[in-house]
Amino acid sequence: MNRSLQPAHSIDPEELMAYLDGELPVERARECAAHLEQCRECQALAADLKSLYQQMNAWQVGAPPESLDRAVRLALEAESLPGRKEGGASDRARPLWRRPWVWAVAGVGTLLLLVGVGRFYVFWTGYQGQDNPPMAIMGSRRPYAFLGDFISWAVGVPARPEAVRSQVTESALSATVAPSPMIVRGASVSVVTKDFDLSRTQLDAIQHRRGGYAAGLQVEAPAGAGRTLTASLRIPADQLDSTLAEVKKLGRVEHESQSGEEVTAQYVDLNARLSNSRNTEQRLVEVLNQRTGKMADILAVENEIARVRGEIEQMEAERKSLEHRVAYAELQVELKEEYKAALNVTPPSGASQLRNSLVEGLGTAGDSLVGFVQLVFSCGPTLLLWAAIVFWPARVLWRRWRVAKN
Amino acid sequence: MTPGSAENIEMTTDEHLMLDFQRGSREAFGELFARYRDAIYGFFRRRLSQNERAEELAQETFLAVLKGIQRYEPRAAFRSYLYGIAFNLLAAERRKNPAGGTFRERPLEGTAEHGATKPVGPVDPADPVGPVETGLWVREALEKLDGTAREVLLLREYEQLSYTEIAGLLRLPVNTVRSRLFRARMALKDLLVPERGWQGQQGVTQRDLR
Repeated sequence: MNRSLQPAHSIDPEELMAYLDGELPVERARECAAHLEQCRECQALAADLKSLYQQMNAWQVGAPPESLDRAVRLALEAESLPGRKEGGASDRARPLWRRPWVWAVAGVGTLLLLVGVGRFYVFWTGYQGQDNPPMAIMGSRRPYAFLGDFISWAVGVPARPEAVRSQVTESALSATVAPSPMIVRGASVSVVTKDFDLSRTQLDAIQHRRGGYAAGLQVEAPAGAGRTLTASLRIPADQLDSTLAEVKKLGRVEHESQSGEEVTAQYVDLNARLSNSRNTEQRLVEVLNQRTGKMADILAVENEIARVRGEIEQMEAERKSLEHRVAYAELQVELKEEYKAALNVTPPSGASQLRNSLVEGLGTAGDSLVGFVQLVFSCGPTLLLWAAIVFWPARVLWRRWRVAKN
Repeated sequence: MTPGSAENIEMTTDEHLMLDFQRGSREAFGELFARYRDAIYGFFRRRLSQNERAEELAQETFLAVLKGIQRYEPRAAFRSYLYGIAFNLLAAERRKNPAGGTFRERPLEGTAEHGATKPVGPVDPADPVGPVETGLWVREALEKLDGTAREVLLLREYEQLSYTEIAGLLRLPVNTVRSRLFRARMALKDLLVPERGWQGQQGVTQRDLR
């Protein structure tokens, strides 16, 4: 069909169709009706459209089967209608995502999760930094100990008190014969003194009096700052407490700490291994003395004896070192001189002060930039991960919310 | 007016029935279902290849109204709301089952090519086979239209939606709906006229009825 309509036509065919569909505003519909009475072309089109309408009406699909009625009625009866109980019901029927408190709880939860993950990350990196790799720690101790460490760390309780550790070792030891407990003691103290030279002399005197010795000693005297003495002293274990008390009298104590490591199990184990090796050596010597054999065999036995003796010597050295560590406690002393700054008589000129400030400012700006990049690098992957995880549920919720709102 | 009273229920608007139903009147929903059951069933029957799926989806549409009653707010006409649900279900079905989601693949029974195997005529209520489809040549012609044009035409002719309602449902501007509808009608007219005119087709129908 190619109906050519004159361009001067006041009603275009689309409008005529809209008129027949009852979709034109009253004013325009009136014009359309008037035009239709005169225009033959439009009459023809109207007739076509009406005929089309009738033709399309011929396609009928019939009524729905009874089963539809049954299913819907059953569902209607099964539905508990909330309207029977006024009030409260509408709140119950309201979907979760439209309740503000759900959003609040979800928000707080997400925040806590993020903070938790962040803290765990920090803890984990700290844990890995320790002497023992974390997996070894987790394997050797009860599995929840690691979790306990994290929780106590997270809430601020000092992590892993030494007492717990030694209790565990002690209970493990109680099965074997344990002599008096062997403890490697250590202490460190930092003292600030006004008269550095006098304090230093006193420190030497204390060390001699207590029967100790210096394993290491270092004095630093930088310009523009007080002198510092760092000494690692070995003091008989039973004298440690009184020595410490005396050292603390030298000046103002800035820092003090003590530690104790239980080595009884290690010592007992070493002794057992040592006696085993001695027995082995004894038997090998007997073999060598009593049996006769080929030269090669004799050489093999002698080699074996040499190996076992080497082991014995190594273990004896180890035992001695252990005994020594138990007998002599390690005392780290840091002696700092209270610094009295000399008056600077020639203050720097204004220009150089400005210049210094500028240099410092530039340095700070650079540092802050680097710091920001570091922050992005350290937090970015975690944030991205969580964004990826949270994005889809959030989008679904948002869409539902929007649909519900519409 | 007492909501949902028997003599008034037929005079009540759809929106008021929904509000009555929201307040707990089962009769109100019964009336709504009675008003729209044929239309909604027809909506799916005309668009899906399987009659069973059409029935299931019609059922799902009413169940969705039932479940969502507390969320209903009479901001738009109930009819738009109902067809909105139906349309979403149809879209989901088409996504899930692209082949069965359109009537294109439905084998045409009772068409002229295969001879009239099924009576083409008015619905016979005693027919045990199920609902009878008539005027299949129209369906054939409609199948040749492209997707949106067909949808616009179907919504206008069979669901009797206004241009604005169609525009809302298909998310098109009203002017676009009008021009697409016009083009679809012209195209369908051309498809229907040359093959078998309205008169000729009526002849076939009457012959088959005898």
